[in-house]
Amino acid sequence: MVIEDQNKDIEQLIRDLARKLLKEKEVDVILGYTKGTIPLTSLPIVIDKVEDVDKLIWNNLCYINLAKYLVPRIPTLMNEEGQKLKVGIVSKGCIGRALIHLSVEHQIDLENIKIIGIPCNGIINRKKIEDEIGEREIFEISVSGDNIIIKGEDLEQTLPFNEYLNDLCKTCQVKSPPSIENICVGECLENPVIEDDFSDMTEFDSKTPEEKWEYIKNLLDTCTRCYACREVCPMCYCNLCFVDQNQPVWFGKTTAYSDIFTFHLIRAMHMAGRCVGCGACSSVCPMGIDLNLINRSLEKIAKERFNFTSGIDPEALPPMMAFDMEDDQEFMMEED
Amino acid sequence: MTEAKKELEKVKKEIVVTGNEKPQVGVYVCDCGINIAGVVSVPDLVKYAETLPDVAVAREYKFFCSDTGQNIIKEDIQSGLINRVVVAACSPRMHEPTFRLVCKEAGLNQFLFEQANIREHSTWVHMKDPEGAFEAAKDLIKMSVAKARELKPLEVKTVSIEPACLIIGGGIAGMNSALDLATEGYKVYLVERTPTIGGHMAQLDKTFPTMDCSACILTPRMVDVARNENIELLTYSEVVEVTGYVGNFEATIMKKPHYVDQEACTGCGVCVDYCPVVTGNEFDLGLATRKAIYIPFPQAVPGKYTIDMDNCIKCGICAREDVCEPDAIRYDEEPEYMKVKVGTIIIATGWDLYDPTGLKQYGYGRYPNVIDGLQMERLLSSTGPLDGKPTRPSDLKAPHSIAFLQCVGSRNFREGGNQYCSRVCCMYATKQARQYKEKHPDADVYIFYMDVRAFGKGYEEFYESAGKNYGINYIRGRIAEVSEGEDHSIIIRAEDTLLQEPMELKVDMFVLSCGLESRSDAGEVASLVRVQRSSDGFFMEAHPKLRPVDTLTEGIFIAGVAQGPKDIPDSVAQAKGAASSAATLMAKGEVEMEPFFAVVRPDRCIGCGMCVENCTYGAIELIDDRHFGKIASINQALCKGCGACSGNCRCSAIDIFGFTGEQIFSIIMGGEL
Repeated sequence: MVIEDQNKDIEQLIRDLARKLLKEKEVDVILGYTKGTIPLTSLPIVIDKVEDVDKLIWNNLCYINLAKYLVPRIPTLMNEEGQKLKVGIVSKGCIGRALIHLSVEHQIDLENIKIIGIPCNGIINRKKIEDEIGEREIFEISVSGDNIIIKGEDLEQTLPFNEYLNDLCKTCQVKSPPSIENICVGECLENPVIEDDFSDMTEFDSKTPEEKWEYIKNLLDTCTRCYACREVCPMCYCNLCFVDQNQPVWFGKTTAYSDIFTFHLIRAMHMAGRCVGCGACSSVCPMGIDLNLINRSLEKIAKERFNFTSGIDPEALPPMMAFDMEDDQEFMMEED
Repeated sequence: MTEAKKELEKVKKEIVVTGNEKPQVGVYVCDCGINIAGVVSVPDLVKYAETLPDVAVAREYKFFCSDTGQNIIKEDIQSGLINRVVVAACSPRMHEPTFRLVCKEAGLNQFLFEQANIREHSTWVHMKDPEGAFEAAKDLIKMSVAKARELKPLEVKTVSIEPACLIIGGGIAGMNSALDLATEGYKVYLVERTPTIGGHMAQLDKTFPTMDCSACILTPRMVDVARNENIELLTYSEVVEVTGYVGNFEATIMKKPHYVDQEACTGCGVCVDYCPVVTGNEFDLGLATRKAIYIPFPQAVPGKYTIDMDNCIKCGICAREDVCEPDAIRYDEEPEYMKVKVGTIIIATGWDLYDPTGLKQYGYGRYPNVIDGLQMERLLSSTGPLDGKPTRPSDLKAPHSIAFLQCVGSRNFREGGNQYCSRVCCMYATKQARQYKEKHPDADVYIFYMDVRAFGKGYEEFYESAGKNYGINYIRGRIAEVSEGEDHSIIIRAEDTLLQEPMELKVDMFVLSCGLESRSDAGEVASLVRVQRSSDGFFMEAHPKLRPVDTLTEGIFIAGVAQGPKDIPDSVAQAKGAASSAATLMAKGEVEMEPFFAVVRPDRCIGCGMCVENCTYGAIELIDDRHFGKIASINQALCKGCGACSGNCRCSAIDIFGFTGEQIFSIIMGGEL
């Protein structure tokens, strides 16, 4: 089936389920996507009336991880009496993973939500499109058949869909959310088995430490520390992020090289065994920095050392949360 | 002066520090005789300290730990000159308590003290590089002053102590500790993993140098233990879990199934006659047999039977009414678990004999007439398999010649050996040689040694007499290899290093004086009760000289060979010491806890629960706070201040008192923020 038809089916699935859940009062509100106001974007939307269900859409620009809107730091969806609303959340695979991991970290109560599972067919990488189009302004972007059609001022271009996807969508093995009984509706993965060979990492891993350093240095060179990556990340839910703490001030607030590095490397540490690979951070970066390789490295280490993939099993303890005497100790230095 | 007045006087003296006023640091740089002053210029260090921020005064003295030195600090505190103290001297391990007390006595909160270790960390290690040492000392002082400026007063917490002690191991050490504590009125749980108490000492025949019968002095103690109403004897049991902290440990003990009702069994022993299964007897080290239903040895306490289910064929004969009259056999018995609450723990788990099988050149396990020292002990024992008439295994004839080899597995720097001296082998070999000579005066007895270590009371005399009066031949030299001659005799090739010539000797029996080793499962015990082991595998004492029975885990003590090789008098002495230390702690009724525990900053905590799962001590739980919602909460009595939670917290919401983020950070930055 061509991408265009898949999108129509997914959109229909979302609307049918949303209508059903609202009608049967299974949920109070639906959290989903609607059309963005500018090209290459989509917007999150909260629907509380059956009439509005048709505002819900699905396309390949729905990059926001909606789980972010359920973490406590964001004002919780509440009714006038101050009670938490029951939320139906449109979930592609990585949103489902985020929800499961957030429940492991006690941030959300899965009992209180309904996961509307959809089979995600990939998210278009904005950076790749912009690299292709250059400075020219885009008016409209759509998918036709298996191609992306871009229209703009003096511009009409057709690009093959598969080549302009996010890199992590190409390796993604969890297109639909992992199934949880009584919580998931729609299309979900029963007992997902992740068999990731991390072949996309081979090139990066074969680099010498100096080459890796050079790569990361170039990658982060343009970072302005706007923290868009942090704000959009479902796993960044601290009350007060370490970059904002001033007792003590752990590191400088400037965009000096060392400060940018400290920010990204500490954030990477905080993502270890937690990143669910939704790619929202890269999608929102105004400077087009793709953190995919850093995030994939973390996922690879968690898988290889601790046989853990985040957001798959609500019962499994993440490696940074568990204490096990049998853990791999190879990083320890031997006594002479 | 009336009590009230005294109290008033005390209040007046106390210097109130809230942590908000300007820090006034006093830096005291100690000469430590020539330990520090001999390498770096202390006056220059003092001058340097004076330039550091918030330093009100810096002084030098020969020994600040002396009375006069302490008074210098006290006077500065009392005159109001300083409100933070930094002593730049030795390791805080020894003198931190001293200087904390100085602060306390002068009316300053004792946690406003910081020690810079410029001896171990500078002048000792950089003795040959005085300039480098001076720079290192400067940095250490700078770091300590930086931290001192951030110090906040802390309050000591006290917790009550359960007046009971758990003793792991029922050998001579564990028994002595148990008896001492029980006599003092404390409840004792004595856990022994075999079916009887007595340990290795029960296997010995006579004890050096007095030659009194081991069993004759041991068995009355065993009976005392069984009879003492304060001792709950838990034989054939193992400790499987220990939680809690000093004063309030909770131990889970597994009572292994005896498959014989210990209440009902009268110890008549009829079942043994009927049991068809014959297997090797551990107590006699395989030199004799026992049945599948057994007591380890006749004087075992408790003298009740146990079925060895590994060998039992469940034929059901022992359960027959005409065999077991009291109907005590229970084939379906399951392990029982009991929980006990104790204030202190003594580890007296003893030792394993070095296994010489790996030393192929000595033929142990290959030639029947090569045996180890403990087997020789059983052969000599009047309660042993041969009733004290030693014969050699191959033909059960009394050997005309015996050779002993010393330091088997000890003082061996090659792979597979232990580097330490096992301390008992010289004497036990001498004793066994003398015993054999007493029984067979015509026999030729040789002892091959590296050097004889006869260090105890009466040991040298014992050794002298062995050569002089008993005609035992001591040959200084290692044995290169042995082979088997005709009639299973052993041919020894060695070098006599005193005569400096090779020699060959044919003997009827060859005894390997094997050394002592830590228990093969000592690592499991160590992680169970959370104590350290030294590199030789034995449990580590808190200080090799001044705290030889304490471990670094408060409330846990060690006794006997579990701490390191020693003979019976030393084991007993240490056992009594451990009992006394445990009693000292329990007699106080309460214990002061260092207030270095974790604290949660509720405004930062997001309640992710990472710390809950990470805490080895189970000290953290998630609570619903009225103001902050779901946050972590720390049980300060359980917290050990290890910092695992703090290091793992993404929100930096957990601080460790005494090591807060600000303090550590100021150390790193050296006060240059």
